[in-house]
Amino acid sequence: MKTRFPGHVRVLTYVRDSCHIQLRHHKAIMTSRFRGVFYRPERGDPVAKGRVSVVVERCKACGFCVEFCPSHVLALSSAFNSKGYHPPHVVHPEKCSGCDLCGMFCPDFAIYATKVTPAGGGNK
Amino acid sequence: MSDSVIPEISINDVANPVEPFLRSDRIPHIWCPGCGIGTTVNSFARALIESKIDLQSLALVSGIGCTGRVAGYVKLDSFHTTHGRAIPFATGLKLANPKLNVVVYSGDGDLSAIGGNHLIHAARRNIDLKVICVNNLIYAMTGGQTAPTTPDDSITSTNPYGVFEPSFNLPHLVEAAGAVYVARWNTFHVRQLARSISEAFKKKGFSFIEVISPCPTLYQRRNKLGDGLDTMKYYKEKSKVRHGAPTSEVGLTMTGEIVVGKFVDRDRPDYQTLMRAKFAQSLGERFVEQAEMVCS
Amino acid sequence: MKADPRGVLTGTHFIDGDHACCEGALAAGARFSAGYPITPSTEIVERFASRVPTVGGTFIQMEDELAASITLQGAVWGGAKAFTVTSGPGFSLMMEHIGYAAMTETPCVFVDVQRGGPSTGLPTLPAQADMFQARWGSHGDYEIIALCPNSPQECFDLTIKAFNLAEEFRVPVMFMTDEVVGHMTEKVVIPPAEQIEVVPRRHTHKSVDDYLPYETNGDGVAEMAHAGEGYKFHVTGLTHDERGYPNMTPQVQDKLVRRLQSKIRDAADRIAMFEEEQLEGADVVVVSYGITSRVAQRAIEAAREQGLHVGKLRLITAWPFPESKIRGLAAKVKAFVVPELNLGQMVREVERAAAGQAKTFAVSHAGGGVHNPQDILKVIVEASR
Repeated sequence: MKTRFPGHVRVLTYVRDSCHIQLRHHKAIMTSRFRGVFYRPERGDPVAKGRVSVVVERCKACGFCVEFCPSHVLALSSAFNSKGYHPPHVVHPEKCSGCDLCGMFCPDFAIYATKVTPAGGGNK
Repeated sequence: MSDSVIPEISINDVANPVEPFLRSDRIPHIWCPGCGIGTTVNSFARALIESKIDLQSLALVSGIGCTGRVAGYVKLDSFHTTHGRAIPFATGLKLANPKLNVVVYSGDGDLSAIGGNHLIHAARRNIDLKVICVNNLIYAMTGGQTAPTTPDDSITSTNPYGVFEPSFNLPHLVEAAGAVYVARWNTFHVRQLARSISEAFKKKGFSFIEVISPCPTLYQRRNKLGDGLDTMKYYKEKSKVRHGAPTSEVGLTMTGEIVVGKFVDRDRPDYQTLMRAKFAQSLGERFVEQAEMVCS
Repeated sequence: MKADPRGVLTGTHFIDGDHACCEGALAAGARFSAGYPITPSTEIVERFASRVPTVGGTFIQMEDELAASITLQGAVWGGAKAFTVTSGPGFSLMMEHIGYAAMTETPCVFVDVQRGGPSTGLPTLPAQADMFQARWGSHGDYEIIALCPNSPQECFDLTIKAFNLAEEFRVPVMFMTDEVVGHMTEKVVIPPAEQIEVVPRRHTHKSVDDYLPYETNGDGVAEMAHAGEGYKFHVTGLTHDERGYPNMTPQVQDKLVRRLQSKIRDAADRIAMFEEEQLEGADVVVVSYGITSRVAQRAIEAAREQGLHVGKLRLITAWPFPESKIRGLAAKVKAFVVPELNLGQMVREVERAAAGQAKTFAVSHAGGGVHNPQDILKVIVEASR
């Protein structure tokens, strides 16, 4: 399943369906209130080394990822998940190194970063 | 909409490295915002990946309490046992099937209060267990009562005027009892914790890793110490890494320095090694090694 | 399945009940025990400690009964058949874990060599005062099976039966002996292994993807898996659903706890074992168990010599209580006489099951010795009037 929105943040909601995880875009959040989501790099822009994914419905807005990201890539958004928490969003996607410290700190398994290989490659 | 600079990436390619270790059908979990237990599970999962442990032969045993709920969230053979008795249950598992890697994942109250006796005996015997003790300095699940680890002067629901009992220095206790690997980190030290857990997997014998963690809802709130994030910042600021520090000197206070690091890393024959040696010596030919206990 | 010959000490022996119990456990395939010393049960695990390294198994003396009673359950989930032994004070300490075994459906055996109580009581003298504790000692609604041997030979035979029942029903089984049966030395014949029937673990044959730890078929008993086999299952003492996951709602509680109860109660008639003698035409039936049944035999014979029609019903299974048997008898006899080494425990069950159709007479004894047969005879005579 491919995203309709290119960009460095995949905002995902995990919908429980027995043992399988289905990924769906959460339309309510994919609005322009979400700063930084729709970053489209211009020619000559630095290309990020990492990509952050947020599992919106798991987040409890503890703030660990925002505080401890060494590159200050994240901030808490003004959007809400269904529990009323503000999940983080990416404000400096170009600075993400894919170190995944956000993922290691997150007590709710709600965010993780992966390294990105340049055009043409898949990544894990 | 295609873009030649940013490759289109299928969502299924981008997987949370921790996800395979979780019972995803039970997430979101019950732990509070800012609680550090989930953070320790990340470090645990990373340690499993790094040490390439065979997940099939890994069993996780926990007791009762907030940390005790870890057993229910990890996708392993996991046992949520009775309060304080994770260690003896784990002992039985390990003795019946020595091929298992047995991890005990429980909290400070469960392991050092009601489970204290079992903690010291398992350390004494040097049973080959990896014990991860998440120490949030309180009995969290039941509403914030004093634990043997609660520092002096803390306000708890059973010490509403302030704790006046001396508290346990867990690394000191388990070292004295005989543990072969003793380390302490807190939930800020995510990578170091993962490394310690990996090291413990390589050790044969009783390994004990204490992880200091926030309990923002009870311990921090009652003592006006801020929330989970404030506590993590305190850990970052006030932790001192002192590998090999004498464990007698690593006691905790409410707002003081937290000594972290690997304190003990020694070698002693583990229980099963000693048992086999003794039987071989005393019984000679008559000694029959325990066969695989598959009784079906 | 036949017994593993390595654990069967075939031959004719002159041993006491405790030692016979140990041999029964070995013959049944038990290769793990965790114990704690307590008179008058200690000899069982002492013998196991010396036998098991020559058979291929493990004994560990734990730091207390709280540990012993859960360590054996860890061993069960690791693949072993396991048991522990104790007496009154230790039995009390084990109660939480008996409940855990019932809730998680862990097959195992708890041996209680009963002694005088309450509290420290009479460590070296007999009683039968833990019978209700065996049934109701832990908190909540659950069922167990309890067996009562009355001789060292039965200590051997019934221990095997206890393990078999534990495996068949995935339940903790209470093996209720007493200090006299435990310490009396008699002839015990241990047959060859191929004559001993042993029930294997009800291990699942389902694949890893299909297996649900607490999904049951017809008889209310789920198939089991062991740690280390790749099933990655979860076991908890919290109220749980078929997946083993905590699911704490009244609906799931109702389903689970009623199933734990009915898997035993529905099979009560099948589980019940007793020894009966001259029940046809009896006016009085003496209901007894354990060592008291041997003393009662003397009283029964004396009563018959006096011309009284006295039947004997010896309970071998104390729990689940054989209600239907008693109810059936109550319609035909005048009275039940229930001698016990306690101030009235199983007699309450007899009275309840009799439901007023027959009178019930207790012959109580505070413990510390066995009845004087004359005391039992006196009550039989009174009951016959």
